[in-house]
Amino acid sequence: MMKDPGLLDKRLLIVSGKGGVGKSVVAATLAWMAANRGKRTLLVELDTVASVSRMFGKPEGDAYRERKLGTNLSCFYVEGKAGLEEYLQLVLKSRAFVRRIVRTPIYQYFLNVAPGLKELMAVGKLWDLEQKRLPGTEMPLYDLIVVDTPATGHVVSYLQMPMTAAETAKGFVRREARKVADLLQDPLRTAFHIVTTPAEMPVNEAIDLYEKARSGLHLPIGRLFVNQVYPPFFQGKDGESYRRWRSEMEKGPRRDGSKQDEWERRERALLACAESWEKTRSVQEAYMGRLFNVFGDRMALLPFVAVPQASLDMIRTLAESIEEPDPSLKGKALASSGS
Amino acid sequence: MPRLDLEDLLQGRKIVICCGSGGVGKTTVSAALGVQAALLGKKVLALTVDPARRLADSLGLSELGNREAPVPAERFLRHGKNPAGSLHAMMLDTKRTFDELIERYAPDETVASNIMQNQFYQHLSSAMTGSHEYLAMEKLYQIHLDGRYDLIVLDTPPTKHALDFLEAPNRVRAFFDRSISQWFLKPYLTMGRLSLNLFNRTAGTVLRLVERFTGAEFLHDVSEFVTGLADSFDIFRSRAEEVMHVLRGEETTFLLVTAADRGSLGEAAYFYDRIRKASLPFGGIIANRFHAFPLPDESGPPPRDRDESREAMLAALTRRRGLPPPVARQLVENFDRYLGLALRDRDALHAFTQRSPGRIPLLTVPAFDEDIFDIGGLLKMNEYLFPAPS
Repeated sequence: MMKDPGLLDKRLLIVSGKGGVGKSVVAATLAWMAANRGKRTLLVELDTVASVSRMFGKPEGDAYRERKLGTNLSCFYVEGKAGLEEYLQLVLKSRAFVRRIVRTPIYQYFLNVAPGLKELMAVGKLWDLEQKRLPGTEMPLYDLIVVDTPATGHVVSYLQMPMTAAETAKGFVRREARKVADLLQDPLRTAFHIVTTPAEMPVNEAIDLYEKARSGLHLPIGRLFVNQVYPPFFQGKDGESYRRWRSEMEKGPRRDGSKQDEWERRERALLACAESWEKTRSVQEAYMGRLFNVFGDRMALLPFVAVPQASLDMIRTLAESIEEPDPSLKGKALASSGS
Repeated sequence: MPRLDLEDLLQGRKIVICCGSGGVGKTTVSAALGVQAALLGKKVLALTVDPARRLADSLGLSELGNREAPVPAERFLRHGKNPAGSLHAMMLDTKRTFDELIERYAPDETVASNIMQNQFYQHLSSAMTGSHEYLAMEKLYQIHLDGRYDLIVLDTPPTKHALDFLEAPNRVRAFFDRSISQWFLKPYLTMGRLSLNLFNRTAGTVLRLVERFTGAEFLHDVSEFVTGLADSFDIFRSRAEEVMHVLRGEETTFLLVTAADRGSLGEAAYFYDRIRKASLPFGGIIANRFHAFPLPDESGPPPRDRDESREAMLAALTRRRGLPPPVARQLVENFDRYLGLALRDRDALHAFTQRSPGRIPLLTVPAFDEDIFDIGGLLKMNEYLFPAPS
């Protein structure tokens, strides 16, 4: 759990995790950090609910059109169906013929039943974007591509496809799939990050996903971002002060004037919030301990940020804690994990 | 928005379907509804797909899927409740459900066993979008026809979108479309090679592309699957229609479970539109993990006054109570955190109310500090799902 200078020095960052853990905002944060360092960055939403443009205060756009989010930063929505049509265009040359084909029932049929066809095309598009060069140069068009992926159950079936097709498909498709698989599995170019929160289901899924990504897909595993971590509760002398305050209040309200009653009410609300904080943190620590046994120093803790919706402010806060991890967030539970 | 009256809703229904995207507490809400219905005297089956380990354990759900098991009354008694009815739980095994259908409708055992070993079938029964959702409906339909329960509560499989569940029957109907399946009944396909001159150019190109992507084996497998079940295609299709008929019936209700944040509620509004268009019976929305204001009758001072109020609180805590300044500061910061959450959820709910046409029955359930993993926790949740009349 320390600063990692290599975090953004890749070509492709894949960000995955269970729905609702803040996967998209972590992906947006990584992209924003890279763009701030002068990297030409593309934030890709892979077949997921489009949400990142709103974080940057921009309206949502169409699939397959690059949209600018800020200096050095744009986003792109990748979806399998459109990807396949684009690919057909490439293979069949004639636009009219492609249009005719995609309207046939048999095409629609296979689009739905052929295993992984849409997934393969969507992941293939990532490779295509990585291959793009600045016109007339050998320089990559994008220095870094950050991918926000569909929820856990689906991401494996997406990333599995190129590996499968590299074995089962024929000729051209097989060769293409091999190239895509090589990119995904290359630790110099790619990192597979997992996002979770310290709660039961997300933790189970994160561990499950880690096993699948590592032993099943042979992806280069990056960080485990543990999002929405509450700060440690009062320890030692502070803990004593807190408990003394609590027991004083448990003796019951003092009634010597209306002003006092109003303050009393506020103080009780402060206490209720503190009690909730203590319980939440204790549940979180148990789950972080479990994660630590599996992920060790790959873990990066991100603070809980209470804002109306993911926004640039939230992205800034998360970026700060990725760049300068707050050691106090770990607390005693993970004290054994070094600095 | 009117308040969703779940007790009233449960009375007249035989099927309750809890929809929603993954990670919003759908399984917990479904189990809590089951608990309440059992307390009200019903014989209930809670049908679930992927429960959290500890909740599954406490409901007595075994690893083995598709097996109904009663939740022992003792687990209720431990929390001072004696159900007038009974609660049963079952972990849904969609693969097993599909296998049973094949066994039933394949012409003979050899065909059935060939199909089950078929790669395409294995993909279809495990990975194809919509198949889990459809098979959950199918199992629900079977149990409903058996008529052994007063109420079935279905917790739908986790999907990217809550909508995937609604679209599943149409996908199944399209899949078993005869005009399409005809392509695969041609003998040259079963040999694993395409004789393209026999096709028209467009269809031929599509099949050639499919072969290129997936290998010839895939087309052979599809063909084997379709040939084996060809005579049952109409049965599968009409079954999908019967399932939809039951789902549209008066004894069914759909509930949408969502988190109380803006994104989830946005999806909820969209889901509501779609469910109305599909003329499915909609019960209402349960906005889970809602954060109320720390001071119940006050939504906090306006931002401009907040610093002032923060200073006043700090001063009071340090001077009157003698708390060390760092402790006081952290207590106030923590209060702000909860205030922020409450503001976030209130704004999200407000935006949802503004946007949604008509009156959608809605109920909020607060965020709990600890995980809910036993009957006790579910009873606690029910205090909010079924509030005592005030």
